Amino acid sequence: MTPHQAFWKTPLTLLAVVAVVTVPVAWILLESLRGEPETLSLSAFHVAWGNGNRPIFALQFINSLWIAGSTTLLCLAVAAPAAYAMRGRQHPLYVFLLRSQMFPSILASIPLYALLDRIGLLGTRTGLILAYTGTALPFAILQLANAIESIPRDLHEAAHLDGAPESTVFRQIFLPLLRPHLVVTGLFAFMGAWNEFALAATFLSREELFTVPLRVASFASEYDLQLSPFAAASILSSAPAIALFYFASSALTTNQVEGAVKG
Amino acid sequence: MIRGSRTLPTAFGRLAQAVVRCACSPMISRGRGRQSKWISNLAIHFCPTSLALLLGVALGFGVSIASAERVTLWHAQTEREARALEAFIARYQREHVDIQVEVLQVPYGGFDARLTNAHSVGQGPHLFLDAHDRMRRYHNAQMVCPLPERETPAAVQIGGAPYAYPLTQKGLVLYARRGQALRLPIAWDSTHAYSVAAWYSAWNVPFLVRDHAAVALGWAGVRGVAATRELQQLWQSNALTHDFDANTAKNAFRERRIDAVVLGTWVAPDLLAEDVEVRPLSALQTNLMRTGEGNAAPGMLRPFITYESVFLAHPYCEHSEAQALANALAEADVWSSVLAVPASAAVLATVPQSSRTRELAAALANGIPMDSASEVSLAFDPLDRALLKIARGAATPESALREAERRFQDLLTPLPEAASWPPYAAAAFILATGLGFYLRRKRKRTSISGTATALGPPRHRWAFASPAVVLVAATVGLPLSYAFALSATSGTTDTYFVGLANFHNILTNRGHELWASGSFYRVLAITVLWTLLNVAAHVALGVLFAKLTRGLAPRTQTLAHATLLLPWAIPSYVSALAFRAMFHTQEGLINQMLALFGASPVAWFAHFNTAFFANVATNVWLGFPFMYVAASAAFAAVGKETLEAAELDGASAWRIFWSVEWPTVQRLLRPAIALGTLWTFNMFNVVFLVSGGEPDGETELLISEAYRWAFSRGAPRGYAAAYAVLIFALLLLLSRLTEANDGKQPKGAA
Repeated sequence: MTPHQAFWKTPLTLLAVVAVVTVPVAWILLESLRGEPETLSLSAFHVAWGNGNRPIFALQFINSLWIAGSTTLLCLAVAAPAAYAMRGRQHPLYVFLLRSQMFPSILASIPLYALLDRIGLLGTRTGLILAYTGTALPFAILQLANAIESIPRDLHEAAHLDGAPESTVFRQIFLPLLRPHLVVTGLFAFMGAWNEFALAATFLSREELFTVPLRVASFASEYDLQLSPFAAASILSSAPAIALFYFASSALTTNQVEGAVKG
Repeated sequence: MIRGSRTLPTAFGRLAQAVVRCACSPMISRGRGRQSKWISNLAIHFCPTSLALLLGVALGFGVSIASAERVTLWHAQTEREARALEAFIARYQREHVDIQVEVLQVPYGGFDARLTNAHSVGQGPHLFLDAHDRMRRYHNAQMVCPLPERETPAAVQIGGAPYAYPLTQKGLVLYARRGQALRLPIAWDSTHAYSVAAWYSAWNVPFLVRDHAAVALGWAGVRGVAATRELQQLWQSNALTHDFDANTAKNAFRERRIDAVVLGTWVAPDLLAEDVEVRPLSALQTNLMRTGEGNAAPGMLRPFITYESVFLAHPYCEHSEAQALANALAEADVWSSVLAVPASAAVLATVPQSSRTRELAAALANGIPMDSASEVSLAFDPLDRALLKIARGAATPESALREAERRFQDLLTPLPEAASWPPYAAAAFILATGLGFYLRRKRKRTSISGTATALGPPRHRWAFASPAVVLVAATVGLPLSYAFALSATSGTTDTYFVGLANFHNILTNRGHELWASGSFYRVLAITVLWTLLNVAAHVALGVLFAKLTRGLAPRTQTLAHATLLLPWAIPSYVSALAFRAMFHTQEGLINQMLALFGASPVAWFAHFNTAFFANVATNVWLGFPFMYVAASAAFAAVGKETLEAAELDGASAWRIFWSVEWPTVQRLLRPAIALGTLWTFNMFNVVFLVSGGEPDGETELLISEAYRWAFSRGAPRGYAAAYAVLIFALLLLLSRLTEANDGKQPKGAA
């Protein structure tokens, strides 16, 4: 796997690229550590975490974890069979989902609000989970459907010639092949829910139920941006996402489908 | 298969797989009869557990808790003020044990949308806090009720009845070093109309001029232009700053780079050190105003006063507990401990003499309460844009203010006329029937030559997909059809059908020149340019990085992946705000780096090219990881045998890339590019948070333009919905064209 290295001079170029990519992150980190006057201090983190007796950030952190985690699982459980059923890009559902991504979603909060109110889920974490699952689904299904299409057709046909029922084919042949794609799709769903601001700000009505982005945004107001606490809260909020990305990063780019087919 | 160092992803994968398998297990155990009827197929293939999961989630947790006597109070105060309010409510609760007060601090940016949404379904609060100048808008939308009589300023009354009780007052004051003579320049956020209103009051120029039903900008009149010219001279002689926003001014003052700043009373907790004193704006009179000459300013510098007020929300007009709480708030001193000035003299009298709140109150004494007419809020945006243009030397006061007047009148454009719906209904019916026949014929044609699918009859497939269909219909289909319906109505409180009038207005730019700044076509051109540049950069960087990281040692590769995916892991609004701060003229990292090389600071958001560049740079940073991931997967799909064969043949690395890898990669990247194009086209956060449309709305995209029509221009919602539908239609057309184009090319073998 090494023959290209000589030409691209990989390590050096890569280092330069990495430096540029990380500048904004480093800057946020520095801002969060800025004390008064110009010293390094953790005081911004204290402010972001919430002073003293109210463990509000911890609570909101747990809310975010619960909401994003449930969204991810629900989304995968619903998207995988749907993608399997569509089996390709000509299916009307696929076409509809792709089209739906063209619609600017900024007006979506109004009808969703009314819908959640109608079924009594407004202002609950569950309501938010359903809304997030719905918004994450189109992309999840598209992605899994693409993945399924990349699985050689012989495999479908071979399985069916053996007379295996649909569900067995799905479970025993497709799911293992889809595993890296499920990770990636799940990651997307998680990130979308973890970082979402607008719907959470509109739907939730008790501070104990708030998610992390709402906390981060509370340091920016119409009149001023409290940069240090904002940066500190941003870092606290990004930490789980960064950790997840680190763990999942190799799955993001491996191609186990190919391996399994040839394996 | 190489598995060695991938245990963690594998574990994730197992987990994900287990969830899906568990959700569908009953289906698996019973899935047999392929010839059975549709209903039984549904039962077998439906994935019952996942549906049960969904229903359980939906029903199990949805029990709402009813409580006895409740008063809800919403506000969007900042941390300090929110704590003071909570302390007051806690005291109030101890005295009124029979009622329960629920306070909700709505995060900044969510208040308007939240209040409007909640009100529309009858879930709004009893009371809410907001600035008094929004009163007319709330009143026009029938969101507020009159409060019981009590002594209030005229600014919060409509027809003699108070519609808000003022709690605190806010306005601009002068912060200066104690005992020192004023030294120029004075930091003043003087390109914002709200901030610089005091200047025009000194020249006796009214904010709005009314003539019967017509309203015009006072500042755009002859005297307003003259006053603006005087202001321009102050900028040019560097007596006043024009490029300091409130934050920069605050920092400059605290770091003693400047000796006097004009800022709001709300930053007093950050600024009021021992050696700082507060003075009314009129203290600047001798420094800034020419006196004794022919055209000296006749009046005093008097700032706008905004009352932070409590409103009684519809439909709780007769709710006595809510009224009592509103009254208690108006009579108590809730915020003087955090240096907010009480609105009423009676409350102010209870504040200790030693409190610095009294200094602030004295400095506000000659302020002018803001007019709460609904047109006032519409006037700020056009005026801000005009002042910025003048300060940057991009326009003369006359032309800039004339343009502001035109924009203001444009925002006041009356609602479209009601249309009768039968002709539209008939046309829609004919269209739908035609489309139905067309699709039927098309389906018949394709089904003959259609490929055999593994899943048997099409109905099976719907069964498999049904949970997804339900959810997608609710969260995607519903908003979509809602927007379509809304776009054919006025979208006001007493909404009515207008046919295609909204679309007509957008496409004809409401009667103005079609290529004028802010017109649909012009914004569309910018959006297309934006999309092309971004997607090209995303693909180039994604492919480059994927190529670079390919074939690294596993450990290095993991690290490289994690680093390159970093932009993705950080919330986009955080990165966008960070980039905005990095492009800041005085304090931004980028200008500081330029200064190291001896370059003079660049005012990034003052010119289209640089502002657009800042937006694109931000979005490229945000978006390349997606293409990187897609490209990595695509590279991995290039057969190793092919690569090795090419290498054995002695092909150069370039040759291998272009002839062997690129054809496969670009084919596999197509879905990602299609999605990336859609997302970039509809990217809202970057333009809204980084350039904010500056300069003069030139960098606005279609999506942010639609947002501004929906939420910040006081336009009826139908207009914004029509904007959204137009964006949708455009993208649909675009994708049909590219698909048709793709269809002509022979499909590559898998």
